Formats: sequence, C-alpha cells, structure tokens
Amino acid sequence: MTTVTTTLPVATTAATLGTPPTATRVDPRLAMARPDPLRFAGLLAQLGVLLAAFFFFDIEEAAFGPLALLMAGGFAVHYWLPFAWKEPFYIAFSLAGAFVMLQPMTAALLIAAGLLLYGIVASPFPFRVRLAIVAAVSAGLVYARVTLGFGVPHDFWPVFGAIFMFRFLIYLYDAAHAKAAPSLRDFLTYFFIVPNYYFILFPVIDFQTHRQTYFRRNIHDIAQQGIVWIARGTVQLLLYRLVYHWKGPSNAPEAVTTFGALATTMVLTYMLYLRVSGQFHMIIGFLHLFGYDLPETHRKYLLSRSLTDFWRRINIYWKDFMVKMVYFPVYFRLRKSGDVRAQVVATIAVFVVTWFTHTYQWFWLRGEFLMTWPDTLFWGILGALVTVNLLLERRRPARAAAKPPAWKAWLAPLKVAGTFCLIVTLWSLWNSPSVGEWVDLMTWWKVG
Amino acid sequence: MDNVKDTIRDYILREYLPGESPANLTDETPLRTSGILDSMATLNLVTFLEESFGITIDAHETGIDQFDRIADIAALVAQKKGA
Repeated sequence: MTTVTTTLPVATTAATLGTPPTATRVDPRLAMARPDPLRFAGLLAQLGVLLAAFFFFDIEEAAFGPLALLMAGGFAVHYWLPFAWKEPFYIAFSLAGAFVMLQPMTAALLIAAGLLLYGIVASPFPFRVRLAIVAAVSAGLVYARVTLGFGVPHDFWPVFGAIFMFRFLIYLYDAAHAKAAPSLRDFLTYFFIVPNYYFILFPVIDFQTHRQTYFRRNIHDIAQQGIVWIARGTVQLLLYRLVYHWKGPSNAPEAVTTFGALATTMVLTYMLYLRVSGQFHMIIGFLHLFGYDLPETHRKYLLSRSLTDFWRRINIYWKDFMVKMVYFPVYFRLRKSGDVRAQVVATIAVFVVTWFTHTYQWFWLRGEFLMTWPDTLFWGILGALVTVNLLLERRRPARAAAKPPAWKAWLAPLKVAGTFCLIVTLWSLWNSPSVGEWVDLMTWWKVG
Repeated sequence: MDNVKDTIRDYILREYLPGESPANLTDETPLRTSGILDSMATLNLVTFLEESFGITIDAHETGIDQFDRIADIAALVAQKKGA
C-alpha cells in the first residue's frame, strides 16, 4: 500500500471549501474572494521581491520579463474585481496576453484554432462524429506541421502543441463522459493560459481539477501558496544555472576519465531537470494568483524511496494524466480477469504510452520524431522496474501502520540513496545520443 | 445518504488516515487533489464501494468531479443505487 499523508490540508472544512453554485444557495466562492488591503499589500510586496530577483539574475530568457510583469499586473487588477467579473477578466487578459507574448499572426491563429476545436466539440453531432471531425482536422494539422505549409508562421507550432497536444486529449475524454458540454468560458480558461505562451514544456493540467479547484480556498491562502511555489521555482532555476555552468553542455565520453568525473557528470545530467521542475512550480504558482488552487507538480523527487515513489513524486501531473487516460481505463476493463493481471497490464500500458507520447510531444514542439534506443530503453527499463516494485508493494500489509518499527527509519536513507543512484544511471542512458556512447561513458577506465 | 457518507468516512479514516480525528475529515475535504487518496487508494475505495453497496463504478466516474470529496462520492453511490 502506498504512503499517505496523515495530516489533513489546512482550511478544508466544509465552511471554507467551495462547491459549484446552485440556485438555492449563495456561491461560497464569493467569500473566498473577499479582498483584504493589508494581505493584498503583503502578497504584492512578496511578488515585488520575486520580480526584482527575476530581473537581477536574468532568471529566464528575455521574454520571461514581460510575462512576469504581466502576471503580477494581472493579479493586482484581478484581485480587486467582484467575483463575477474575475473570470471574464481572466479570459480577456489571457487572450490579450497572446498578442503581448507572441507575434500578432501567431496569436490570432492560436485563438482561431482554439475556437475551431471548441466549435467541433460543442457541436450537436453525436460524439463519434465530433471525434471523426477532430481526427480529420488533426490529420490536416499534422500535415501542416510536417510540411510547414499553408503559410502558417513557424513559431505557431510549438505554442499550439504546448497548449493543445495533451490538454485537448483530457478535454475530449471529459467531454465524452460529461452530462452537458463544457462551456466556452471553461474552454478558454483551461487552454489559454498566459504562461503557456512562453513555457513550451507545460504541466498537463487536468480539466476537472482546473475547474473544481477555482477559489476553493481563501484567495490569500491560494495566492500565498502560489508565491511559495514561484519562490521555489526561482531557487530551482538558479540552481539549474549553476549546474549547467558546472557541467557544460556536453556529455562527451572522452571528457570522463575517472570514476569521480563519471559520477559528477551523471549526477549533474540528472540535476539539469531542475529547470523543468523549477518552471513547473513557477507556472502553477502564477495560476494560483488568479484563484486556481491547483496541486503541486513535483514533491521532493530527489528523496524518492523507490522507483514507484519516484514516479509518484516527479511530474505528478503527468502521472495523474496517465492514470486518468490509460491506467484506470485499462484496469477497469481487465479487472474481472484478475486484479494482479489488470494492474500489471495497466502499468505496462502507462509506460508504453508515456514512451510514445514523448515522441508525440517532440513532434509538436520540434517538428521531428524522437525514436532512439536510449529513449526506448529508458522507458522500457523504468516501466519494468516500476511494475516489479508495484507487485512487491502489493505484498505488504494494506493498512498504513500508525508507527513503523524503529529499524525501518534506518533503512530510509539507504533506500533514498539507492533509488537516487538507479535514477541517475537510467537518466544518463536517457540523455545519451546512443547506447554506444552511453556504454563508452560508463566504461570510463577504457579512455585516456 | 448520511449512512453512505459515514461508511466512506470510516473506511478512509481506517485505511488511510489512522489516528486522524473524524472531525477533520468533512464531507467537503478534498481527497484526491490533496493527496489523501492516490491512484491505488482510489482503486481500493472503488472496490470497497462496489462490495459494500452492490454497485459497479466505471473508470470515467473516478474523475475529480465525482470522486474528490465524500459528498460527491456518496452522491455517486446514491445515484448508482437508485438507477
């Protein structure tokens, strides 16, 4: 059984949580949005310090500066608006933000493409017909992406991919099972997210979670959490720069002639991931400023105690995306034929799909397919090890023990160290241009 | 409906929050978006509900809209029992 928290989240009582509005009661989110000048000043002061850090350290590329100013300015206006005006403002802000962050033609095409996709999904045709139309439109988009045809600006494709390539799959899945078609407002707030115009690698936010967590707590608590995550992201991006500087851009095996150099190269290669986790913390932190109380994207992944634990801590949104779209559907379909079999097949399916979708992502962002042996081996080995780990976990008692025996506490650091070494090794394989180069890297004593 | 909620609450407290005060696990406490229930725990809860109430739950019904709070889960169970 998996480890669960024994501390309930703060402010999750019935009195403080929001539920969707009904005709017979006042929307509890109104109370969550009540402004407080003193607390607003505190939040804005913290944002000011973070903005100063962004500019002082040039924390990201040039376009990040306007993005950060836009988000802070948007928050300052959004905060004071009556609740009913907040989302319309957020939509207008997001659509206008496209024209600030992108070329006008790219922004216009992006909005047009989004409205086309929404129009198809919201149309009155049977779902299968809508799906067929989406498939036909997607085929046209793939053709245009490959050929860079139809006069579409080149910079349109990575942003289009970053916005729609995964979230639209979730949206379609939810639309297929929804009792009523999602509104245009839900569509626009979910897809047109200002940081997405800059951050091409973007957390795969769940549609239902995005909707359900909107102002579910007091805005000051939500925004404060967001600021903590923006600060955490800032620290991770600064660390990333140090790692990048120390490591250098190359993994060339000829530069690794000692075991120490090998260990350093491998660890630093893994640490480059700080950029992704830092960016993800920052993105979700920005969304918190506008009332979206989304969950954490990464949870102390360097301290994972097993590969399954690692899978649950690193890129949590991806794991949840796979659980929703692959694991549960496969498991529920197969569970009558045996629980273990269903879990094993569902886990394998998750890693096969994850491997494929990384190639799919590469295609939309870079315009080419990523099919390499290191990538295939990485996901294959990770999937196999997580499956074995899952089976081992099943053999443990189901109930979480109130107090684990003392000797288990001594094992924890060893588990963390062992998992870290395993991941660092697998990561070095994943980041090698070929299996041959990785073997050269690992056999450091043969060089020099 | 209250019986269903209490049954779900007792199960979650017993299996995933041992030692936690029942008063802290309200009908509105987020279960999945707060990390109290992960994917495996969600599957175990589905099995528990199916066995306890004689219903069948589909994969798409385990989304955040219907499976994040005791109130929503109880509503799903009530709807299934009434169907």
